[in-house]
Amino acid sequence: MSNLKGYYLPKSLKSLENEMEFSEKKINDYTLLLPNINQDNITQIVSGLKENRKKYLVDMPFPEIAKVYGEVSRTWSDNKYEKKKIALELLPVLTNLSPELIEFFQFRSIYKIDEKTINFLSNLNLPPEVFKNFTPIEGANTFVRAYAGFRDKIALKKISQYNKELELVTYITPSNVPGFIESLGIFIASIVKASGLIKTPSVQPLFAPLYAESVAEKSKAIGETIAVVPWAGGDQSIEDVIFRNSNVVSVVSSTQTAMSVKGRVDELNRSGIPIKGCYHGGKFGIELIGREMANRDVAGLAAIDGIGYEGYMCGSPAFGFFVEEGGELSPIEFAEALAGEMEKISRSIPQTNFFRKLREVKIGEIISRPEFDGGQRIFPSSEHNFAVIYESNFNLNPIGQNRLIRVFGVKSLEEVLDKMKPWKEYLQTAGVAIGNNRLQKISELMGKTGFSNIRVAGTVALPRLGEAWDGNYPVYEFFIPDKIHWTSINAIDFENEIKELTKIKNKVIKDGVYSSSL
Amino acid sequence: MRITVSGDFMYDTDLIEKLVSSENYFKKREDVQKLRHKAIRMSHKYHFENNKFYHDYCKLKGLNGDIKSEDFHKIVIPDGVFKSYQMESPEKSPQEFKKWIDRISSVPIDFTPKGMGSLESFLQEFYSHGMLLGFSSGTTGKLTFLPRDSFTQAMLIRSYTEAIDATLKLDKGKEKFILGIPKKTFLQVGFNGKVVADHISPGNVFHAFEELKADIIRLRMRGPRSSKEKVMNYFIKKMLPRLEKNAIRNIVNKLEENQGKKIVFMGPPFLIIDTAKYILEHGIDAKIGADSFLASTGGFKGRSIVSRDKMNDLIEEAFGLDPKRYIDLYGMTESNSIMIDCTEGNNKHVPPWMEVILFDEHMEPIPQEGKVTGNYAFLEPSSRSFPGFITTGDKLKVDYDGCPSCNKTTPILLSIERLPRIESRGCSGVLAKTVAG
Repeated sequence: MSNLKGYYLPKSLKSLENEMEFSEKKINDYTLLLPNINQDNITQIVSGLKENRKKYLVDMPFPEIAKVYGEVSRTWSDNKYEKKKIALELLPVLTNLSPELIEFFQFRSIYKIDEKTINFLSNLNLPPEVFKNFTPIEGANTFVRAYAGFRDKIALKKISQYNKELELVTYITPSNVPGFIESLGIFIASIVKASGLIKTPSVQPLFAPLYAESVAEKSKAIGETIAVVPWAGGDQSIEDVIFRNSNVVSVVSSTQTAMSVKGRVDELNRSGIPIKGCYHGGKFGIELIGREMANRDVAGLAAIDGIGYEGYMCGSPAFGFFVEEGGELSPIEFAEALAGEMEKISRSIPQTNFFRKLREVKIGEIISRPEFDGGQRIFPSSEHNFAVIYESNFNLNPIGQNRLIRVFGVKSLEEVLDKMKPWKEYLQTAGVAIGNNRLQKISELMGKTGFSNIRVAGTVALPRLGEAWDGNYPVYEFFIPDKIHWTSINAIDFENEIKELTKIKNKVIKDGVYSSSL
Repeated sequence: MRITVSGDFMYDTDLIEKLVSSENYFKKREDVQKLRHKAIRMSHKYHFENNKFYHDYCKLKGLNGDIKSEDFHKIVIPDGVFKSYQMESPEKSPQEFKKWIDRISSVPIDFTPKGMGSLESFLQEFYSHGMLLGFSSGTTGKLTFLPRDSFTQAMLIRSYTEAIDATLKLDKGKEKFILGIPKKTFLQVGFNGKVVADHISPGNVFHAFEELKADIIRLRMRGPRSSKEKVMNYFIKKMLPRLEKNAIRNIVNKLEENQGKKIVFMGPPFLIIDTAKYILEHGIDAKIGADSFLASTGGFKGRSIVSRDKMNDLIEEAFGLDPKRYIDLYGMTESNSIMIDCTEGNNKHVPPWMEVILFDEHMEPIPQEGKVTGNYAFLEPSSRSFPGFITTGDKLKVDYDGCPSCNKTTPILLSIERLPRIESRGCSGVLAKTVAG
């Protein structure tokens, strides 16, 4: 049985391992060693990280940082890379997600953390037009729009990029999107030339240490500025030390956890300790299909959005798929086409029994309602991989996880957006398939309704460079107050994107997710 | 007797009555299993043909009316089914609510409810027409309703009494019951206690509470939704602690009256504890007969938990009762049965007419061997008016090898816990929250 580290510490802090107590978690033929961190341990870790940052990172040129992360990504895209093989063997055991799903949604997102990404984010300078309309961003295939009051607009103009020195960025990471947020936390800390401390989720303390080790393999210097450790969320003896030493605390978790951390960060701020809190709590998404795009190709892309992270990503279309009437396919025909596409894609990106059972529970509740005797239609999977339910009565209920896809027919997309207003606080991502001529107008309406991520259908669970996140803007959020609501569109030309994405989807169906041509 | 309700397939009541028998606690396990599996297959087929929801659910899973024992784990339905109605207040949408009941029920409901004012009167209306809508509630205040026709109600009483017969020596018709539960309520736990006690010893049942209306329980569980409810809630909140104190005084008076005599005292554990404390604090002699029984049900949800050892001490001190004669019961609103501690080892026994299936963290069924822990689902063929094949929000540790202390042949429970993120909806929790100040 092999031992794996459920933590990562810089080499210079290796001696700490002798002082720490460990617990063990058995996974397949591995034993994952998890440190029981105490206050003394964490004090030494944060001070060590800060010292190392001064020594190794402050003067490191951006192109060198970019090259390191580019190499890390290329290494992870190699299916023979030992750490990737371990991750793909053990993450499914820990998360119940299938290895194919992890490869397609998580690892493919990580492969995009390359030189281009780092250079883009390290030179970020959004034009003032973003306050007026959706503005194309140089270096990214993205439109961005910012909504703010007059004073906040002025305040933003006064901020010059990275004018504040950040010594330590702490990332508290979630379990629903295993791996991606941890890697994001690590590389974004490096971009702002801060040391990075990552708290792993208890469900899955495996990926972040592996990724951090990969970074250290490529650059010993950057490896000295990262630490990955688990601790019990809310343990004040540990978090008090961490928060007091952090310039930024970013929480990606349930709303409850995010708000709990916010309460304590606000308290420290009031006592004169400046910490920027970035809070990413629970959110839901929807999928909007315009009548001009109600066709089989788009149904295939919508299927990919429904499968992503089994519907547990904060942007997943848990509210449902809303299809405008009057298109090539009627809403009920679209639902049927979606089911056909789900069956094909599910063979390449299978679902595990765990999520299958959860779906059955929810379906049981849905079909026990009397309306199921009439206005609803279910398109089941002959292989029990999903269920598409067409519902004639419009209702908003965020239950579309576990490949339980709910399709609604609507007169217009604008009607849906109007009904989303009471949910403003919980809105984040919308997968959208509309003609280019409607994009600006609908997007403006969506931004005002509270959406922050407008993504072309098929990319809901695949974040892209230059996008906003949860109403904030990555990296910017470390430096500016949260009063500005950011919204992005992740493609300039939707019609062309849909054609290109359909080709990728067909490759996935034909060759599977590990194909090098993807 | 075989009963056909609406489909072609008969519900075999003789088979169910043969299965729900105290004798089966002591028979060879394999023989009882054979009988139980036959009953489950019969019950499944009946519900498949007579229950619209269950039919659709099974079809979706690729199942039909004939089921093999190895596929039993596939027929369990989520407990959320029994609170999937969409309206906030059933009594205000009586026709819509009836449509929902029609869909989840396996027997026809041949009357048109009027929805006469309160929820309590609405439930009474159903009850008067032979359909008990016993309920339980979650912390969200959405009540779970189980439709029990006359046969299923009779089987509930039979399941309880046969389990009691297998465990305790009761002198039927002569036992005196003191119940820390209301005399009139559709809250399932209270209803069960009342009807079973009345069945065992008619005319000898004392209730510490008079009535607990469904409207009050709902208001306490979900909170007020209107200014009128806010006012009501204010007064109820003031009134309920007094009600609980009165109930304790009533129980204590009754115990004093029965000093040294055999009684059966049953209630939620927090009420038993508070009664014991009251007795000790006031120096009251409430020592009951050594052949008495004390029974609790529902756990401590909503109140601070007291360990079994501490409860034993309190019970011995306050009531003078050997702790072995204090038995805890484990049941669910969705189930017709209870699991009772045996007096020999205080181990809770799974009734022989109930199939327990545990699922692991990957939702796979766990083989029924030795000591295993998993998410609890049960198959109970004795429910005619709804499919008694249900997954729950509890996690159990079960020893399939059975009890080391008594001669029953059924599996025992080693531990019970709530699964995280599934709302607490134990009946005792409802009582605790309802009467808490």
